[in-house]
Amino acid sequence: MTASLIRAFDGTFGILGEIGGCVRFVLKNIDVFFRKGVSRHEVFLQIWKVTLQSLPTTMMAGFFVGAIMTVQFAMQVEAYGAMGFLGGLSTSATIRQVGPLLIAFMLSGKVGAFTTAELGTMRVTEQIDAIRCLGADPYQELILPRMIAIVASSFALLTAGLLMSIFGGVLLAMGFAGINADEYLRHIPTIVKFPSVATGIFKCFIYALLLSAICTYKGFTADGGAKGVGRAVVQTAVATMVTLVVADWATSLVSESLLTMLLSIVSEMSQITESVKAGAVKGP
Amino acid sequence: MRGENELDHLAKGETLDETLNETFIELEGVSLEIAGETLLRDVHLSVARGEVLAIMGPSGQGKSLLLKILAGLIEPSIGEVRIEGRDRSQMSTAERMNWGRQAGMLFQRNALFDSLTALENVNFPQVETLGRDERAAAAVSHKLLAAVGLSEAAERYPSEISGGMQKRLGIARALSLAPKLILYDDPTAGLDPITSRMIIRLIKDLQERDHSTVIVVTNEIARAFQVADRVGFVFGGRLVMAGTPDETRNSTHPEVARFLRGQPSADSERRLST
Repeated sequence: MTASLIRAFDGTFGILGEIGGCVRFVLKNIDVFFRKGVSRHEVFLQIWKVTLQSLPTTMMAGFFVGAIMTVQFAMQVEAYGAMGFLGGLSTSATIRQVGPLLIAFMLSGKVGAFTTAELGTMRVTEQIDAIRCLGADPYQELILPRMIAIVASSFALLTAGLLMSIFGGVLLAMGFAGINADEYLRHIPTIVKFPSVATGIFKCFIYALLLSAICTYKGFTADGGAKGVGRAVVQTAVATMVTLVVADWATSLVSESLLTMLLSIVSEMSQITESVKAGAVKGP
Repeated sequence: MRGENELDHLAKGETLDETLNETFIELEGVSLEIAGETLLRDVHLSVARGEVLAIMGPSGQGKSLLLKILAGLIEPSIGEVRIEGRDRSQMSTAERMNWGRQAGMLFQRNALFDSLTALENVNFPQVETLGRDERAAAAVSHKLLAAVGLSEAAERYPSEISGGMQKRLGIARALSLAPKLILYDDPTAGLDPITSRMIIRLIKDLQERDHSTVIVVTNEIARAFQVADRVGFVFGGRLVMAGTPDETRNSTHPEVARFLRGQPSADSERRLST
């Protein structure tokens, strides 16, 4: 009993220590970014690599997500005779919720694991020590380009995944729900408005930031040879999945609250503008 | 390819022997503790400019950690590292970066950048640290690769060359910033006797050419005595002696005498029996 309690206590402090270490690591990167900058060439190279690595799987997953969302929404909207809204609802749900999470999971599985393994191998083979010994900064040379690339690529992948989800949705709507492409696409602009797009972009940014921080931190701090690198990759996979789910809850809460607040401000301002206009018309 | 400061000393009329007497780097009461375990204890060491110091001792006693402290990769838990009389911990970030450029290191497992060719490995520090353009860096790199006999392998990746060639490539990269201090961590580990002899000879030839300060961790007893000005012994995280090859040969320290006779220490016998 006591041993179990001690283990639980150690585990809790271990996780807190890891979170603290990761936060310090991110702050160190921010400091290096503002003091020394980062090589644009290396950033573009990494963006190219990350995007190429994940584009096929993201597009494929996007296609099927669009199809799945269409099937799910079709069953619900059919009961209300609102099949015309199928495309808009399906696309809105994808961009607000499923798209960013899907992109993050895809990136976690491919790029996150790859980055941790790559940096971990460099750590255990003393290549990172060699960079320091040669007077260069490993944060500037290795970490920052990868972090920036993961965040930047996630937006490109979100766009590609979303386009494929619409394509998948259209195909399924035509085959499964019996509505044509025109009908499916017509209501997308009326339902998918700025708040949906802003929410999707906000979530995508937060998820990519968390993923990039975790996978680079775990790789950078790996130790214990090949076994240690393997352990770091597994820890990255587990930590990113858990973090992404928690972040999904938190960002949904924050983005919905912010949007509600923003919309109420906009609505109040438009009311004020209208009343001012009405006053001006009445005038003296 | 002597360091500019060193040339200045000689230009003022000092002889090479006089410069050899100047202390270049010192460890004063250095201890290192990691995760509650003391790995180095109260190490005092002074290395003169242009000196060749060989550090010996059984595996796992702290020799590589000592090199990493000298290179500035690890900070000691207690004690001071002084460079030309100045405490390194009191140096500004810029000064420490500058120091980093003056200390080249060959790592035990070479630590070559496996995604870069041999030429790119040697170019890397020149481009990233000195800001040289690729063409100027390549010109210097080709000379360094020729000096270590690797001209033919310039476009090959580290995984495509032999262990001995990887060591020589590591040496070329360590020399690419024309460092004043070169640290070699077990440069002959895993190499056959002929290649080992060649690597030790290369280290000595380059040191004689550049008059750099060299600290080499090695267990090649005969070679170390041939090339080193002094030999240090590390046992149980302590530097138990540092003397001339003759002083070392005649040492009465039991662990040193045992090591030189090739007999296992009491500690290693205990470890083997368990």
